[in-house]
Amino acid sequence: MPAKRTTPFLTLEDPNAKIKGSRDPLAAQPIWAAFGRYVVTNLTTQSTSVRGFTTLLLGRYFAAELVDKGMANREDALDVFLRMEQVSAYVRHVAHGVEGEIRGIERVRKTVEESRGRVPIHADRRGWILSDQKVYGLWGLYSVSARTSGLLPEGALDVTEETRAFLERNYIHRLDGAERPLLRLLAKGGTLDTRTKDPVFCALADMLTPAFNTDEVDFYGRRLRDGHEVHGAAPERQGRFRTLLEAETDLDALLGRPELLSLVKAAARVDEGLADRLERIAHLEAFLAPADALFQHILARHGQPVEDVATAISSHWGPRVPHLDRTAFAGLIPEVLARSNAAITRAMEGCHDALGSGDYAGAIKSLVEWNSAVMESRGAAPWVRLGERRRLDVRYRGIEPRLPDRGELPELWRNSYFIDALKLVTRQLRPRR
Amino acid sequence: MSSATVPMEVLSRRLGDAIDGRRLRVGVFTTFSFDPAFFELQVLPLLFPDYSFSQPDKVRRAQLDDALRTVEPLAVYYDRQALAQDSEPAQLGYRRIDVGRRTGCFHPKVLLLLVDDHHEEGEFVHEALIVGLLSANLTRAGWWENLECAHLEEIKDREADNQPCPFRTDLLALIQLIKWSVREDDDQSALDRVRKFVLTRTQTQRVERRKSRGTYHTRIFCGEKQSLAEWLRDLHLRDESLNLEVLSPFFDGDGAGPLPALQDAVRPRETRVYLPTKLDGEAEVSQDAYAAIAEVARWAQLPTDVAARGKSAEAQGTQPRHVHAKVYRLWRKGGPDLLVVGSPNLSTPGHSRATAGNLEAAFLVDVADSGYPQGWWLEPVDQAAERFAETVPTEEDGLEGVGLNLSLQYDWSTNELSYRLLK
Repeated sequence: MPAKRTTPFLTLEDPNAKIKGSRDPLAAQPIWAAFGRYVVTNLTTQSTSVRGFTTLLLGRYFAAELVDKGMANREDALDVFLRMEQVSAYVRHVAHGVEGEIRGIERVRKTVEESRGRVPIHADRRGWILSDQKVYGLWGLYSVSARTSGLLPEGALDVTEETRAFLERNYIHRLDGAERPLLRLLAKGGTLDTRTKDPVFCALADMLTPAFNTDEVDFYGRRLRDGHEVHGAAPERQGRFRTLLEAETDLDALLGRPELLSLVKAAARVDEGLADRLERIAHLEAFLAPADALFQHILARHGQPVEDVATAISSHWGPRVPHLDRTAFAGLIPEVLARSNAAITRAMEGCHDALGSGDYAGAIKSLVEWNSAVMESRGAAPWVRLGERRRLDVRYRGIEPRLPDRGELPELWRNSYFIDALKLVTRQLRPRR
Repeated sequence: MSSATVPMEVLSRRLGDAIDGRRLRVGVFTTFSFDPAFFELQVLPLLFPDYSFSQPDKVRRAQLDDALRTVEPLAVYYDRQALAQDSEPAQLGYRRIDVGRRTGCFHPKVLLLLVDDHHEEGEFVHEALIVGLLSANLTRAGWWENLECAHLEEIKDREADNQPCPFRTDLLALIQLIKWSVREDDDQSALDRVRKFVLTRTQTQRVERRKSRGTYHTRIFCGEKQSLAEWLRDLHLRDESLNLEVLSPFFDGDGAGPLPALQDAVRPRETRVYLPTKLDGEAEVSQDAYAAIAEVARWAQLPTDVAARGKSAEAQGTQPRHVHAKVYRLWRKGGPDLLVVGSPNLSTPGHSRATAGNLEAAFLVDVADSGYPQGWWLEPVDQAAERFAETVPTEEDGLEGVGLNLSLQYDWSTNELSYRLLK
C-alpha cells in the first residue's frame, strides 16, 4: 500500500507548552502554589471544568461496571476511561457547542468535520483527542483534584460510595436503552454517530448539559467548590472564601491586586485566618510579579552592561517597585524556605530589598543568583550570568515580553494561587440567569 | 493568509500520527541546538505509542529506559557548539553524536524513523521509513513554542509500494553528508541501518522527470553539489512566472545575502520577505540588510492570528510566537505551489553548498492540489522600519564557544569512563 499523501505545515503551539510551571526558571510555582493551597485546597490551574469532573467520574464508574460485568479487565480501566473522555468531548461539542472547556477541542473540532459526524472512539492514537491523552487528558490532570475532594478512592478504579450514589441518581438512570451500546463502545471502541438520533449520543447529551440541576450544584458545590471533604483543611474556610469571591469580585475576570485587597478586607470580618493568608499572598505577589517581569526582560538584554539595563529600568519603573514591605516579606521567609532552598531564599531576599529600594542593578544581580541557584538544584546551567565588565551573558534567549510600565506596576499580577480555578468552578455552578 | 488558509498542526501530534502506533526499530535525529532533557522527557515518549508514561520525570525516565531496550539503535546528531546550556544533562542510553564542521554549522533538523509496517493482507511485517525535515531544533522552543515548519514523508518497502520514490537519491546524499560530518570512530549504526533500508528495500528506479501530470515531484535539498539557488535553477522555474515568499528569522549581517541569486534562479514576478519585528517595533535585521533586501523585494509580515498564542483572555496582549520557520514559497494562482521547508535561513551559509557553508536539509513539495486556497501568505508592511537591532540576531545566539573539545562518557553497565579529546 502506498504511503499517504502529506502536506508541509507550520506548527501550532503545543498545548503542553501552556501548562504552567513546566519551565519556571525562578522556581516560583512551588512557592506560590504552597501559599495558594491555604485558600484553595483542592483545585489546580488545569482542573477547572465541572463537566470535566463529571466525565472523570463517569469514566471511572463505567470502568468499574465493565470489570464487574466481566466485559473488561482491571488493567483495561484506563482504556475505558480514555474512550469515555472522547465520547464526552464529542457530545459536549456537537450537542452543546462547548469549545474552550474541552481538553483537545482542536482535534475534536477537526475530527467532527473530517469524519462528517461519525467520530472514532479508541484507546489508542486512532481516537486520541490529545497528543498524549493519558498524560494530558482528564485522567492525568483531574484525578488528584478529584481524589483530594473526596470523589475518588485510592487506586485506578471506581468512585467513592457517595459519588456512586450521586452518579446513579443523576446520570445512569437516564441511559435507559443506551446503556448496553455505550458499555460496548467503552469496552471495545468503535464509532460514535453524532449526526443522527443515536441513542448513546442523545442520552449523553441529556446528561452533559452546560446547566446543572440542584442536586449537581449541591454535590459539586460542597466537594469541588467548597472543599468540604478535603482532609486537613481549615473547616468551612474555602466555602467562606467562595462566598467572598461571589460578593467582592468579578467571577469572569482573572484575579488582580485590587480584588485581592478587597477580599482581605472582607475576609477580616468573617475569618481572620483567611484574611491573614490572603494578605500573605498579596505581599508575595507584590514581589514575584515584578521579579518575574524583570527576569524575562534581562533575558532579552544579552551583552548589555547591568548598569545600563538598570538605568533604563529606573526610568521605566520609577524610583522603586511599590508595595514591597520588608517586614512582611521577612514573615514569609520560613514558608518560602520550606518550598525552596537556602541559596534561592537568600537571593529572593536580596532581590526583594533591591527592588524595594530602587536598586535595579542589585535586583538584576540577585535575579541572576536566584536563577543560578534554581538551575543548580536541577543539575543544569543558569540561563544568564554576569560576564566580563558586568555585561549580561544570556544563555537562554526567550521571547521578549513587553515590560510592564510604571502605571501597570502597582497592580501587576502574574500567578493565580488557584484562586482563578475556584472562580471558574464557582461561576459554572452559580444559577443561570 | 490566515491560520485557516495554511496547514497548521501541532508537531508532536503530527509525528504521532505519522508513527500511527507502529513499533519503532531505528531512530535518527539531527539538530543544530540540542536540549537532552527535553528530548528525553517530551520527544522520546512520542516514539513509543504503546507505553503509558508517567508524569514524574524520574519514573518517566525509568519507563523510557525500558522502552529504549526495544529499539535497535537510536542516535541524535547535534552541533558541538549548540548543546543547550540551560538543560539538564542526558541520562538515557542512546547515541549522542556531537558534530563539528570545518565550514559553517551542522544545521539540518532531520528525523529518520524506521518502523514496523504491517502488510494489510498477510502477516509479513515490512519496515517503512518516516522522513521528516523541519526547522525545529530539538529544544522546547523548537518543538513546543516557536512557529516552525515541517514536512514528513514515508517511504515504504518496495514490496508494499512499487512506486519509485522521487527523493530517494537526495535522501541517500543527505545521509552521506551527515555521515561525513562525523569522526570515523563514532558509532553510526543507526544511520547505517537507515541507509541500508533505503539502499536495499526501496524501489530503486530513478525518477528523472521534474514533474508528472503538472505536479512537481517531491525532492530534498541538502547542498550536496549545488547552492539552493543553483538547485532551484535546475528545476527550470523561470518560465513559470511564480511569486516568491520567504519566511526566515535570520539574515546576513549586511547586504541582501543569497536573495538576488535566488531571484535570478526563479525570476519571480514579485518577492515578499518576512520582516521579524520585536514587540516595540524594532526590526530584527541590520539596517544594511534591511535596505539591501528592500531594493529587490517587499518586506512583509504574517497575519497576526498565525503566530498568535491563542484566543483566550490570557493569551491576549502577549508576545506572538517567535517565527523560526524557514519557508520559500513559489506559487501562482492556478499553477504550481512549491514549498521549500526545512532548515536553511535566508543567509549565505544557509544557501551554500554543504562544502562551503552549513549542512542544511529541506523538502521541496508541490502542494497545488492539496486543497488550500492559493493566495499570498505574507502581507506587505506599510511603514518602513525605523529602528534596527543593535546586534543582528543569529542562530548562534546564546551559545558559548567550546574552549576544550572534550567529550566524557560513563558506561554504567561496565563502570567505565571514556573520554575523547579533539584537537
